[in-house]
Amino acid sequence: MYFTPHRHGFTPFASSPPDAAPEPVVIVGAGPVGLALALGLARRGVVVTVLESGDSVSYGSRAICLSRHSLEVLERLGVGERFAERSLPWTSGRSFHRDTEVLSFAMPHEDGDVRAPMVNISQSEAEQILVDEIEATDHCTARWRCRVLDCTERDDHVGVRVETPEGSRELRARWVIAADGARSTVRESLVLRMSGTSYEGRYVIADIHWRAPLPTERRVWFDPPSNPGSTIILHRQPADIWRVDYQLGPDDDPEVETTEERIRERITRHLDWLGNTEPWTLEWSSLYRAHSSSLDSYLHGRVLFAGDAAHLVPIFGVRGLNSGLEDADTLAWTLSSVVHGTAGPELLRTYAAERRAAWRQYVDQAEKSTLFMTPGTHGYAMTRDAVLTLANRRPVLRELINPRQSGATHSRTSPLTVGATEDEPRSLVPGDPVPDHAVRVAAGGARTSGLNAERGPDLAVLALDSEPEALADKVAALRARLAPGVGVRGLATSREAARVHGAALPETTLLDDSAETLARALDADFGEVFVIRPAGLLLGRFPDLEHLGRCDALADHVLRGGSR
Amino acid sequence: MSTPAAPPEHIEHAEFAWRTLSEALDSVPESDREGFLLRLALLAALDHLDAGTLTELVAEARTR
Repeated sequence: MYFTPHRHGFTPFASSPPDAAPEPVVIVGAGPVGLALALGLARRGVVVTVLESGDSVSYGSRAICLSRHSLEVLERLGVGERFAERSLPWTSGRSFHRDTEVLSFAMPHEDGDVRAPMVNISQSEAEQILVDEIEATDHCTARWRCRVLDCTERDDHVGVRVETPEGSRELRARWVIAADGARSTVRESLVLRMSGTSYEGRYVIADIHWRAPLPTERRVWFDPPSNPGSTIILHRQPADIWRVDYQLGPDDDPEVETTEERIRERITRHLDWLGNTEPWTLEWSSLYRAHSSSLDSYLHGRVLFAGDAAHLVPIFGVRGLNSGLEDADTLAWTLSSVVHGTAGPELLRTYAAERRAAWRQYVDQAEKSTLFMTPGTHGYAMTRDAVLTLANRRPVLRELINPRQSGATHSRTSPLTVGATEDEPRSLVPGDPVPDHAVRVAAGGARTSGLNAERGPDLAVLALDSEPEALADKVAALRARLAPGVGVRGLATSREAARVHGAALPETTLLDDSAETLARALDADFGEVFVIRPAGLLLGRFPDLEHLGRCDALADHVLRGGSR
Repeated sequence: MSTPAAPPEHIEHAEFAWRTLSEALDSVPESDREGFLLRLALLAALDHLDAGTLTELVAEARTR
């Protein structure tokens, strides 16, 4: 059964009284980025209102691929299990040129990884999980059928004019987050423009219900006999839904090609060519063109931008939603600190700068994939054909066909990142995303968990084989400065199982690393201390707890967005 | 057909060749594309290929 969104009614509300304090945070847009941000703020005790012009989550699969890193974000928001239940993990893919296989790839997946490198789930389902969670969460209200008309910056707040079924309202908010997508009304009302590149080539994207015997892997056909000259991408989703993307030719009329009859004809040709004998139904379709564009800054006065409202990346390599969830994850802890008054607004400048730099990383990764998937010029089209023809005789050319699926971005050059303290190059350097890894929690009855789950949404101090008592003191001191905007957790590992099993410390979680697997995964020396930011990036690594320095100074560094 | 594991420098060279040739092709007039490619192949043959290698590559390039 294809997903049918639940319809939400309008809940009446009044305009903000002029003599009352403005609302802390208003988020415009109940897409996945706005919803994830709302949850991240609410979990930290920030009162937040989400305004959505529609009366339901989106319809159609849209962004279907969630990276391992995004699943870590969702786990920290408390919805990891539901995403795991309702998504389909996958690890590999194949590409074909005409009827010949030219590439088989597997995404990195190692012992100790907690989850698959990628899962497929329709954006509608993802949004519904987040909406359901918001409805069960304090501090957070989603208002449906509330179309934002414009935003106006005032001295100490932003005025948000909203059209509702009962007439217009004006909300006053300390902070407004534009998470209202590629055609952002907020961006338009502030007369802000994105700049960048639009690529040639349009893709029809469609969901079909099809009981197919094919495995769960990404499949791509270049110039298939079923649709000569086109490129076709096939992804499996849960519940026998398949996503089909195919490229239109330069002379194809998009209006004609997006009619149901024409889409059915194209897909039928391809499925018949695959030898299909099963009936299938067309459930949803849309048209897509690749863009790489961004605002110059994601912070304008008291308005912050996140997700597609801030930046666009091409679909190839699945970086759009995954980058938006990184935005939400970073903005949740930085804005929470500002709203709670533990940090000044300068911390938000760090958010804006880091995420703009992250967009640049994504574009650098995506550009090659996009030029290959949708070559916009005769030159790129000719060389792609040559690469595909020669790929089986010159294996290095397969690297050009590899889709380079999304990975998490780093913040190595951010002012928040504390530089490496050693000359020896490490596989994990400050600013890098800290990979999740299976761990054994020792105290309170041994159990298996993950590093991501154990550090949760907080800033974590992970000490390898250090004295847990000394770590607990550091954690308490940091928490006194950073909470309630940012929680702090201590994680201590030990190779001495006997001591670990006997220990019980309130400020720290003890991890049994007698097999030293976590130390190896982090490329860490014993005694080393890792400070991990709430959004999972390595703030810094230190030879031992002494080198962490004064906790007040470290807390100031975090709250000022980097001043150490 | 297994997962590619080419050395990074080989991959960088392949990417460089792909992009440089693509952009070079786009920079010449449409009427001169064949001539441009032939001049390029001739220069590569004279500067870098012996007779045997050139003969082998011509045979390989014929296969589509």
